Amino acid sequence: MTELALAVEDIVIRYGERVAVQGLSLQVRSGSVYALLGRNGAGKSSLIRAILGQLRPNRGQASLLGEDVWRHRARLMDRVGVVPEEADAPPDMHVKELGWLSSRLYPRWQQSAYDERLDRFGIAPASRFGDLSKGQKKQVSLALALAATPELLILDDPTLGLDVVARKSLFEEVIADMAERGLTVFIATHDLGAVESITDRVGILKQGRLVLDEDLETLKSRFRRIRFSGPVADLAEANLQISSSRPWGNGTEAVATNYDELAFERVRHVIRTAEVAPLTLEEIFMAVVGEEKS
Amino acid sequence: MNTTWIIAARELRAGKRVFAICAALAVLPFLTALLPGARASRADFVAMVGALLSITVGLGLAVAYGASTIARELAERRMSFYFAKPVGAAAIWFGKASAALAISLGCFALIALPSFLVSPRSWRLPSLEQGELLALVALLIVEVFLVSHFLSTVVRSRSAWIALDGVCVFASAAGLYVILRSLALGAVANTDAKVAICVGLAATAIMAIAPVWQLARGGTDLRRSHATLSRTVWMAMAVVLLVAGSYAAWMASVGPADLTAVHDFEQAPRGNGVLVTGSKANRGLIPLQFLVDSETGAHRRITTVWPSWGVKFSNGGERAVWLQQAGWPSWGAKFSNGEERAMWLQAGIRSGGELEIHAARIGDRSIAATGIRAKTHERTVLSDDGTRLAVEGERTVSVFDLDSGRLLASGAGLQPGWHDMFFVTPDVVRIIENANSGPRSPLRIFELDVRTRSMTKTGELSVDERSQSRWSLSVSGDGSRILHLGGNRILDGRTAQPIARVQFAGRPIRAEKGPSLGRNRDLLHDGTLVAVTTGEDGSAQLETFSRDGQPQHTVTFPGVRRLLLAGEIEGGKLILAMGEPNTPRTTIGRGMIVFDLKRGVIERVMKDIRGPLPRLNDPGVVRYAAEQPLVALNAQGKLVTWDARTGVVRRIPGM
Repeated sequence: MTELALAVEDIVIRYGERVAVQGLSLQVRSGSVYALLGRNGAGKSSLIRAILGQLRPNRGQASLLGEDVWRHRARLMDRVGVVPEEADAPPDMHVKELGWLSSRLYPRWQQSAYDERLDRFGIAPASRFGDLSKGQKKQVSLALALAATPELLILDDPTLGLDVVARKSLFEEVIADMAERGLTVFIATHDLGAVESITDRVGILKQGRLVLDEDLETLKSRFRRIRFSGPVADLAEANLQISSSRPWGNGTEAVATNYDELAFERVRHVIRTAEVAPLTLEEIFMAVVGEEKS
Repeated sequence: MNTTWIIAARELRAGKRVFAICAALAVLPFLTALLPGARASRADFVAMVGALLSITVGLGLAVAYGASTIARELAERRMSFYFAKPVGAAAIWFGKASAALAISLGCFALIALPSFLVSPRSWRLPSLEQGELLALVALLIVEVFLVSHFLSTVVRSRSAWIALDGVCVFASAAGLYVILRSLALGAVANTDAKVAICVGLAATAIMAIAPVWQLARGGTDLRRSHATLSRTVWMAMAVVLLVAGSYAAWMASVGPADLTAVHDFEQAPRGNGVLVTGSKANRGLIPLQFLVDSETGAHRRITTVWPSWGVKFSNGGERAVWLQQAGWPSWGAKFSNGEERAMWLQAGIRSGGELEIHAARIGDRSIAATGIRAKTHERTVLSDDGTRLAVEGERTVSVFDLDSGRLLASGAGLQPGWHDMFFVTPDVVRIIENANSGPRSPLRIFELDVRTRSMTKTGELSVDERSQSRWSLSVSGDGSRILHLGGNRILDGRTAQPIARVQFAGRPIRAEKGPSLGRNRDLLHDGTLVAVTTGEDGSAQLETFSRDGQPQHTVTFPGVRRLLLAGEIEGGKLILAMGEPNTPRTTIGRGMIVFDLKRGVIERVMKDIRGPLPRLNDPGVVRYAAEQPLVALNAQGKLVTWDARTGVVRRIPGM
């Protein structure tokens, strides 16, 4: 198996004068889960279209499983499963017919896996795709993607518009497949809570630039919320980078992006009482991109 | 199963309902035939309704599928469904297109075939057989589908490329028009139609293949898809038009030196202007024509409607005019045995098409369309000074100023028949009418005066000869005498009053037809009559008569079986061409003779050359200037000039 399941090198995507993605590079190791986070319009979908060989970048290239996707898209899609942001299957096709079509296109198609998932999701094979709810369409898309036994699964905001139950069942399917086959997952999402438990690495996209690309554990270890009585200037001696701060009671609440316990001890003589707490992925995301006005 | 067929099979499944509806529609022609009004010819009615319905449905489906296949999916962002699957761009396009065409053609056949089987004879158009009509509709469905796909992509993308598409459509159409017109005017039989078909097929192939690039390079982005499609289509079309244009240029890039055969040539009475008509292998079937300057070899290609009408030179030789078809020329004809041959007459001429007078000055490269129109059967004549043109109309004669195209005068009152015209002076046109009004057709003479804008009859003579030759006249160059060939009578050129009846010593030579045609009795410029007859031993003999019909000389040419009156040279010299009966006019035969009319002796014999050739459509003999180099063909088939005074032969530069 190739070491890198996905690699993006210096990609630039423009739509006329507008730049959607600016010189972006990232790598996803085989068997890992990579979560790409970003606000609406940050360039996630453009990047995914380039990663899937559906859009030729103006500069740079994307490789899947070691091969240039723009040149070898058709061959690579044998080994890649895709769950799109908007369900794109022809609305007149029946769910069973979608399985029939995929069974003839994918060499490693597992009809039983497809049927079982549909059964678990409670979707009738005779249903017209266009008649399904948004959540069901996503579930069918996931069933189609996983039944092809891909090595790499690419999900573009798979839980967008889904209720809590549908989100849960969708991620359960992905997690089960990951555990079973060592599947590599690249997921672009807003659902930070759901991916926090499964992702190995996180990338944050802001205005077409990858402003953060880091293993989740490292990321979480260096982000801390510090609440203390005193002005934010009191933290200066600790050499902490403060991404945001605000008044908190009689004191201050600050988010440090490079928290180091030993360094923090240096300011203990100034700050007698401080409450230091780790941040959730959502809080980290907000700290990184949240100040940007929408 | 190949991925193309997998996609096609999926699309065909989606079209099941359309097939079912069309199967039901196939019954409709038979039901409408039951209507009371259709009783008389039910089979024809079934065929007519079936044809209309099937063609409408077939083309309608082609438009609908063309507009929705690919372009609609791109616009609705559903093309990613196929792009996320292990399917190439070619498989997506060809799978979807083949299914769409199979549905469109299948539905057409489903409705058309039952009515076709009931009344196959009714399934035809005047110019198309049964099978051809079906094939044409099928081809049309394919074309409509492809064009619809292209237009749909263009319109749905709403990008700035639309403007470029518009420019490219216009440029391609204009380029094709220029290419086809240059081929049509270049007198290459039917090649314009063949090139048009080839370009059309190439365009169809481009439209059929370009969507593969559209998807492969444009991906799922509609605007990029449109840009790629447009780029591919127009670049390929540019290559096709470049090839077609190169072919047209190659076909047209023939000079007089390239001619492998010279069919005809005629020269101006003075100066260096020569019209050369000939052909070259592999450059079409219609003879090529050039206006050549015999002194410098400079030439221009021109296209007169009928080579034997040729051009009309002014007496000074500085100007030439000719008739050229105003519309789109058609040069070829398919005969019943399937053989394709060139026709001397154009389709336009047979159907009474309009012609336009074109004019050129010898030594000047520009050719001017004068705007003066004439019908195909109407005669024209140029004034000696080359400034005015008389055009015969329906029972009228009109005189135009050649430079401005302005109508100067017009006279009416002519009868249907044959009209010979000539300018007596630049202001007076004389018209000799051989009316076609029964066995005793009157010969009438009119004069149209440009200054007074009036036409008056100046003379009339009742002619009772029934032979075909009653229509033939010879008019002396000064206009004072008319020779009525049917009765061998010399008439006054203005009043038509008989002056003398001529009695020839030898037997008259039977008129010859076709390319060997040549006149054997004619009036010279001053009214002197010259005639070629056959002596007792079968040798040709030349007889000359004064302008009052008195015999002057009779000269026998022993062993010469044929003589043609080729021209007159100022100073009383006659040019004769020796040859054999029924041989082409350009056959060299035994050469040319310069005959001294005053002394009645042969002054010079020029062997191994042929020229000048007698004019076929002028009612008299051309009088060349004494110093005029005479144009002729030499034994190698090349054009040369020779001097009647010295006998020196010179090659025309570049020929």
